[in-house]
Amino acid sequence: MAAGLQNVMALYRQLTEEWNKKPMEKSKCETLLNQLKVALTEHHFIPTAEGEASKQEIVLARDVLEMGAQFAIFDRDIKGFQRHIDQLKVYYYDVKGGIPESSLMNQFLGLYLLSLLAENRLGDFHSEVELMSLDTIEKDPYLSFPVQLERCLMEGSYSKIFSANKSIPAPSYSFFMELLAETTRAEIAKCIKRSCPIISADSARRMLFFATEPEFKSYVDKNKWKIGHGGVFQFDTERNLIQDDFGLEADMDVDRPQPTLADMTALSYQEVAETMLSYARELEKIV
Amino acid sequence: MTTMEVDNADPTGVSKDGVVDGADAPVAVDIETTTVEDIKDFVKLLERAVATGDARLAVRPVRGLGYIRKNLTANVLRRVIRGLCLKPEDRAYFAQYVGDLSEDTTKSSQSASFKKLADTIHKQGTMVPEVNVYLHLLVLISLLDAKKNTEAMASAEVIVGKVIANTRRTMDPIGSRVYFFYARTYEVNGKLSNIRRFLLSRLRTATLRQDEEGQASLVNSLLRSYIQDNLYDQAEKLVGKLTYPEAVHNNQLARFQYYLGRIKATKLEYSEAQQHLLQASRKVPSNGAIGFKQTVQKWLVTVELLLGDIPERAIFLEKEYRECLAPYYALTLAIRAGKLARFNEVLKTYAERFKKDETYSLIVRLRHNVIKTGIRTINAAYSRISVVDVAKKLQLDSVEDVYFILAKAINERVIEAQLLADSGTLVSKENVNIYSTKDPFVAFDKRIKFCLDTHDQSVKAMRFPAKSYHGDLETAEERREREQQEAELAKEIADEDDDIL
Repeated sequence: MAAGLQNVMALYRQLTEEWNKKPMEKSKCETLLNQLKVALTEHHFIPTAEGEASKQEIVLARDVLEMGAQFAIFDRDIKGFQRHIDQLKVYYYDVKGGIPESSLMNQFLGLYLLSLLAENRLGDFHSEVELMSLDTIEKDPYLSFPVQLERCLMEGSYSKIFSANKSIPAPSYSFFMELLAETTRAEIAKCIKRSCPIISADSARRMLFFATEPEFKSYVDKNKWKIGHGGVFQFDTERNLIQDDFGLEADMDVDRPQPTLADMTALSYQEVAETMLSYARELEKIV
Repeated sequence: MTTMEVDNADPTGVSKDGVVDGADAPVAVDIETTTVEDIKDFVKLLERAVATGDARLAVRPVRGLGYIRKNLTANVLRRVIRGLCLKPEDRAYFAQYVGDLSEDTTKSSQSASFKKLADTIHKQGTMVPEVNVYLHLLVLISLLDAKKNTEAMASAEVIVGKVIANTRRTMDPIGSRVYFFYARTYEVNGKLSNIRRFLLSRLRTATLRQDEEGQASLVNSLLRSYIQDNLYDQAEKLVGKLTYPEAVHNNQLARFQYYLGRIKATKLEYSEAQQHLLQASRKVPSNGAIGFKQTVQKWLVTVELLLGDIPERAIFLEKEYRECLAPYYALTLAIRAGKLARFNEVLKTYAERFKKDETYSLIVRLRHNVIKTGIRTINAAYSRISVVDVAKKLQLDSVEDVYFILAKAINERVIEAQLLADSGTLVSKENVNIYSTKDPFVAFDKRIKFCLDTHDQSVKAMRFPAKSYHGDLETAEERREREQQEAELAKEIADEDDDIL
C-alpha cells in the first residue's frame, strides 16, 4: 500500500513538471492525468464512510482533481471541468478532518459559479451560492465576482458584463467570460427582437457589443437577420413576443407558412370543445 | 400548566418533582387521572389494532399524542408504567428515565382496571411490542420536553431499534411518529446530518412496505436536514425521485409543501414556490402552530415580491403576523414605491432579522424588482419618454444600461411597450382589451379545475367501514356510542396542533 502511494506521488510530481513546462505538451499531460486517476482508485479516491483514508491520500487526491480541473479549462472542456468540481466538492465541503484548506478552493468554486452562469443555469447557481456564507462571498474576490455578475444579469445591466472582462480576478476566468459574453449576447439579441420594431445597424452593433463591422456582420448572417432599406433592421415585436409561448423557433424558415398573429392569440374551437367535454365528464361523476 | 394549578391548590402537597398526594389536590389529580385514562384508552385501542390486524385503529392513539403531550408529567408516566409493566426488566428499563416505580399510591379501583389491561397486553407472555414502543415514545417526548437531550438520544436509539425489529403493519402509524421524534432528538443535539444515511435506508423500507405515514415523516425529516445545511441540490434530487404519499396527515403535508416551497424559491421557480407555500398555509391547523404559520407567511411574502406582486395589506395587519412581518412590510413599501435608495436602507436596517429568517439571500434578489416596479409606473404614466429621463427617474447612473434594462423588461413582459433605440425613446402601447384575449378563459378554467380537484380529493378522503352493508343495522345504543366516539375524534383532530415544529 505504502509503496503504491509512493508511485502515485512520483506520477504526480511528473505531472506538475510537465504542466509547468513552457510550452507544455497537452497529450503528455492528458495521459499522465488519466494514469494518475486510475492509480488513485486503488487508494481512497472518493472518501466513503467505510475505511479511513490517510491525510496524505486525501490531499493527493484533491491535488490531482484540481490539476484535472485546470487541465479541463485549458482544454476548453466545460463538462469535464464541472465533473471535476463535482468530485472536488466532496473534499471542499465534506472531508474536513484535519487537512489544510486548499489555497485554490475559492478560485475553483468561483470558476464553477461562473461556468453555471455562462450556461444560464441560474437555479443551480443559486443552490451553490446557498452553500457559502455571505461573509465569505463578500470578502473573497474570486467568489464575489460571479455573484456581482449575476446581479447585473438579473437587473439587465449588460454593459457591466462586458466591461467586467478587465477586472477578472484570475487569468483562468477569461475562458468562462468568453462563454458568458456569448450567452449574454444571445439574450440581448432576443431582447432587441422583441422590443425594437426598427433599429439601425449601427445601434444594433453597439447594443450587441461588437467592436468591428465584420464580426457583427457574420453574427447577423448566422441569425438570419435581414437588413432592410436604409440599413435598418425591422422586427415584428408583437409576433416575437408570443412566439415563445407557442414553442416556435424565432429564426424558423421563412418558406414555411407561418401562423398569423390572429391565429396565435385566438381561442381555437378544439380547445374550447375539449375543455367543455372535460367539465361535462367531471360533472357526471358528481351527479 | 399542570404544575401551576397544583401550586395554587395546595403548595404543601407538592414534592419537588411534582408528585402529588392524591386527596389534597383534587383539580390536579383530575387532569392527571384523565390523562392516565386517555393513555389507557389508547393502549386498549392499540391492543385491539394488533389483535384484529387493522392498522387504522392504531392511528387514533398516534394522533392523540399531541394533546396527551400537553399534560404529560412524570407522575402520569409513573402511574401508567407502574400499572402496565408486569415484567421486572421493563420496569427496570423505564425506571432509569422516570424515577422510582416501587412506591404505590394508586387507588385500588384503578388498579383493577389496570390489572385487566396489563393482563391483556401481556397475553403472549411479553408486552405487545406496539404498546411497548408507545410507552417508550411517551417517555422520549417527556425527556425532550424536559430538555434532557443526551438522555433522549439514548432512549431514541432504543425505540428506533425496536421499531426496526418489528415488521407488522400495525407498527407503521407509531413508527412514523417515532422517526419524527428520533430526528427531532438528533436535531436538538445538533447532529441531524449524522442520521441521513439511516433515514434514507428507512425510507427505502417504508416505501417497499407502502407505509405511507412512515414515508411522509421520513421524507420531511430528510428535507429538514438537507435544508438546514443548505443542501438544496440534494433536497431537490430527493424530491424529484419520490412520490409523496397524499393520504397522510395534514400536518405532514403542510411541512412537505413548505420545504418544497423553499427549494423551489431557491431555484428561482417562484410561481411554483408560491403554489407550494400557499398549500402549506392552507393545510396548517387553524388554531395553534403559530410559529410555523409565521415562517410560511414570511416566505410567502418574499416569494410574492419576487414574482413582482405586491402582497395584500391585510396580511401585514393581522394580529399574529403584525410583529413578525414588520420588516417585510417596510420592504414591500419600498418596492411599491420603486425607490432603490429606500430599498437599500430597509435591507441594511433589517439585515440581521432577514438572515435569521433565512430569507436574506432571496431578499437580495429583490433589487431588480424595485427597478421593475419603477419602470412599470413610468410606463403607465408616460406614453412616450426619453431613455435619459427614465435613467434619471430610476436614479441609475448608466444610461447605456437603461436601454438594456428596458429591453429586458419588454422581453419579460413587465411592460407593454416598444423601444426606439435610435431616437432613444420608450413608447408604450395602447392598453389591450383583456377580454379579447384568452386570458379570462384560462383563468376561469384554472378555478374550475381547482374546485373539481377539491371535490375529488374529499371523495377520496372518505372512509367506509368494511363489509358493513350486509351486517345488521346498528341499534340506537350502538349509534350513540359511535357518535360519541366520532365527536371525540373530531375534538382530538381540532386539538392536535402543537406537533408542528
